[in-house]
Amino acid sequence: MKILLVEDEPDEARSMQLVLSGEGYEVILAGDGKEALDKLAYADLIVLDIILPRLNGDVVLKEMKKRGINKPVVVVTAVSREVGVEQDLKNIKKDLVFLQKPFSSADLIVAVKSKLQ
Amino acid sequence: MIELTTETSGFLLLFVIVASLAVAMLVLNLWRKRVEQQSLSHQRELTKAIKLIRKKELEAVKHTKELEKTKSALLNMMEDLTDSYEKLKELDDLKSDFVISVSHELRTPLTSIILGFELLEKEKNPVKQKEIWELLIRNTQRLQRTINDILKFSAMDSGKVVFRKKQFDLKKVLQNVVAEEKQRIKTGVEFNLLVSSIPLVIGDEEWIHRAVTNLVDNAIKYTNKGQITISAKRQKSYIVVSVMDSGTGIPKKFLPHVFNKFVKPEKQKVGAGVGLWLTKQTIEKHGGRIWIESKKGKGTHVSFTLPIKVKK
Repeated sequence: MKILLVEDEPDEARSMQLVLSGEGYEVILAGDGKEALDKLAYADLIVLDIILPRLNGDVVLKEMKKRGINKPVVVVTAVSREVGVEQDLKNIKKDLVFLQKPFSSADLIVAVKSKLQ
Repeated sequence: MIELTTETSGFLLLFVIVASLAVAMLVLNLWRKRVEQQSLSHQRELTKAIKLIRKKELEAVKHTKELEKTKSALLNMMEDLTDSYEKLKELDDLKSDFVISVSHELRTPLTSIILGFELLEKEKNPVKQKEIWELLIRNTQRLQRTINDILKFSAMDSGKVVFRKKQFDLKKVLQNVVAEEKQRIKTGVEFNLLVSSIPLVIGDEEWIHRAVTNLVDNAIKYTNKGQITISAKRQKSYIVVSVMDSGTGIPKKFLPHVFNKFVKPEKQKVGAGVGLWLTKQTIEKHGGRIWIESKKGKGTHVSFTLPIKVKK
C-alpha cells in the first residue's frame, strides 16, 4: 500500500515517514500542494497537512474533487479544531479523518488503517 | 320781512354749496392728515420689522456657518473613529493569527518529539537511531526557542522587561551564534564570520544573543545558495553588526513593515511573526539602531549598532 505524505516540515515528514514505513507502508513524500497534485496518481491514501506553502491543503482537496479523485485522505492539522476549519474541509470531501497535532504513532496508524479497510 | 327773491335764493344756494365744499375740504384735509400720520407710523413699524428680519437673517447665517463647522468636526471625528476601529480590528485579527501561529509553532516540534521517542523505543539500527536522536534534539531546541520567544515577546509587549546589563564580549556572542546555527545552514551555503578586535559593550548578553540569532535564523531560512556573512566592526562610539545573505530578498512593498508586530511574509507558515519586532525593540532599548536593505532575488542586509560604553 502506498501512502502519499504531504508535509512541508522536514522533521515531521521524516518522523511520520518512519512510523508509516515501520508499519509496512511505502511512503511517497511531497513538500507542498503542487507536488502533492503531481504525485496523487501513485498513492492509495493521502496524509495531508492542511497548511502548506504554495498551495494550501484545502486547495489540494478541491482539485482532487474537480478531477474526480476519490482516494481516502487523513488530514493532519496543527490549527485547533475549534477554529472551524474542519467543517469547511468536510464540505469539500465528506469522509475526511482528522488528526490533531501532536499525535502519537498509534494515532497515526489507527487513522490510516481506518481509511484503508 | 325779507322777501326771498330768485336772486336771493340763488345766492343762498351758492353759499350753502361753497360752505359745504369748505367743510368737505376741511374734513378731507383732516382725514388726509390722519391717514398720512397713520402711514408714517406704519412705515416706521415696517422699517423696524425689516431691520429685525435682517438681524435675524444674519444670525441665521451665522448659526448655519457654526452648524457647518460642527458638522465638519463631527465628520472628522467619525473618520478618525472609523480609522481607529479598523486599526484595532486589524491588530485584533493579527493577534488571533498570532495565537494560531504560536499554537502551530508549539505543536509542530512536539509532534516530531513524540513520534521520535516512540520510534527510538523500537529502532534497532544504530544509524537510524542517531538520526532520530538528532531529530529529537533539534526539535527540543526549537520548542525551547519558541517558548523563550513567546515569553520574551510577552515581557517586551507589556513593558515589563528588565535587562541585566553588564559588560560583555560581543565577538564571543557572535562566535557562539555561528557555532549554534552552523548545522542549520542548507547544503551549499557558505557561512562566514568577519570580526576583528572590538571593544566590550554593555548590555544584556542573553537578549543580544537572541536578537542576533533571530537575524541569522531569517538569513538561513531564506537562503538556498550563496553565502551568509556576519560581520562586526567599530565605528566611532558604536559597534556595527551586519548580517548579510544572498537569499530571496524582501519585496519592496513589504520592507517598511518587516519590523512590525505579528508580520510574516505571505504564505510563510513557520514562526509567530515577532522575531524581528523583538530584535528591533532589544537593539533600540540598548541605545542602538537597526535598519534593513533588501532586494528581491538578490539578498538581504540587516545592520544594527550597539553603543560602546567608554570606561572613564
